[in-house]
Amino acid sequence: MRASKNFLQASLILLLLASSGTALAAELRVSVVDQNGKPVEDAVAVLEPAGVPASTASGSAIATMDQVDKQFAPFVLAIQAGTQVAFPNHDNTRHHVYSFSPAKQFQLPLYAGDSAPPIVFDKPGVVAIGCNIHDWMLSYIYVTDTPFFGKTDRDGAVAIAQLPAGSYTARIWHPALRGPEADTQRTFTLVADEHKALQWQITLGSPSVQRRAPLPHSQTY
Amino acid sequence: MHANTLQAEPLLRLGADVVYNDNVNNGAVADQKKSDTSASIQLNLGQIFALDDDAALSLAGTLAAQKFNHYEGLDNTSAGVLANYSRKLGLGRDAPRLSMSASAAHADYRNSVRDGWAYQSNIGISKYLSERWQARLTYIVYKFDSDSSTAEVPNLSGAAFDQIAHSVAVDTTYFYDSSTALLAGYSRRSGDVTATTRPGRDIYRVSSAIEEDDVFGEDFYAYKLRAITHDVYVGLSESVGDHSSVNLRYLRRLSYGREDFDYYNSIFTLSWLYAY
Repeated sequence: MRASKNFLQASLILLLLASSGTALAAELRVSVVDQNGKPVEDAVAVLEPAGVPASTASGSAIATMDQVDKQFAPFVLAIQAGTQVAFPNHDNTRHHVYSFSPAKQFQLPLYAGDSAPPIVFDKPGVVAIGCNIHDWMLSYIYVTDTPFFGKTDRDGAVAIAQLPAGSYTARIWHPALRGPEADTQRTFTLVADEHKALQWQITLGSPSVQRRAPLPHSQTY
Repeated sequence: MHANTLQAEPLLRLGADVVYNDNVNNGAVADQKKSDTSASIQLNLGQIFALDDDAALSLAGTLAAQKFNHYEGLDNTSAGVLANYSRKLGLGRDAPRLSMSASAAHADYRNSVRDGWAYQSNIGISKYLSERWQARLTYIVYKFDSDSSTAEVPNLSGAAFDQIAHSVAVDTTYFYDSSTALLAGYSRRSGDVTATTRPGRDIYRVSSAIEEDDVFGEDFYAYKLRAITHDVYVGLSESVGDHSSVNLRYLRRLSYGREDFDYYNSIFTLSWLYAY
């Protein structure tokens, strides 16, 4: 009975601490535009807190890279290292998913439905994903070793919340980014409960070719 | 689900095009050349079977119809079958893809001497040379067996539309971006060419077959001879969504037969393709 009472007290204290932390947590609103001032969708914003070692996600963290209408969805998936990614196939044809990227080399030979096992992405880096059957299928998994990241929406914006006060280094990555990701790096400081907004203007090159439409001399498969 | 399980997905390919050919009859000299414009539609409908991790077999029925603006005798419909075997030689987009296909189709010109069966076999290999460059090398064997023929000249075949030819083709595609592709290609064909003209030149001496052909008027004859044909083309392909494209192509055809029996064509094609 006494043990149960102590556990309850400890839980309440933890809850109070957590809620006070939430109230004091800062937020960074990131917006990304290209060289023409247009919002950039699918840009990944990564925030590394100063003095905090790299971390990986818990083993139960899982994300999804879907296959619908012979396309990967989403086009860009941002995850923390250690995250498992499931590759469900919602098409009525089979896919053969693979990657040659140094951060994660793997292949899931022809499969349908949910029969492919999830893949753990344990190293930070950019992983380009393809399908060996349908050459136009292409997507990217951005693996980072910080828990603070996000991906911009159609308006080129993303809010990264629950940020502890402190100094940060921030970077932006996009599949068509021209130049190294490190060139986008900025440092800034957040105080408790601060809501900060930062904008990046990045230069985009030509995106990877993903043409699916038929060519006059192409085979059908 | 095992990798070696046959699993089919639908194959649907629909095309429509408008073609201008400045020498539809293969006239050897300028005043014999007849030009015309045609419109055609093509439909391939079938199934694609994944054979294993790298190979697929597609089987389709083919239907096509072509209508000419001036020379109605060239109007035709055809129906046939197509089989294609495709194998990826490795993993990844850059891995070469081997394909072999065979087709047979019966062309119907409404009881014309041009009616017959067309057979074609291809073996080809395609590869992305870089992210934006794709090249294809294809060897093609073509055969046409006309349903009937009438000998017009003693000791000379009347099967002027029967043909057999071998071709080697190189096609290249440059993907400017995900929508626009630039196309260029060359093929060298060695085999029979059929031309239609009024008698008067030495067609009896150079031909292996002669047959009356009234498509271009009375007193015209089709004749067949061996020729080397060079096709060179450039084109532009613009995708319209994920499944269709609009394509523009200019093809220059130079056929060199015996003696001075040479044929030159300029062919412009505007096409729309849909593939599912």
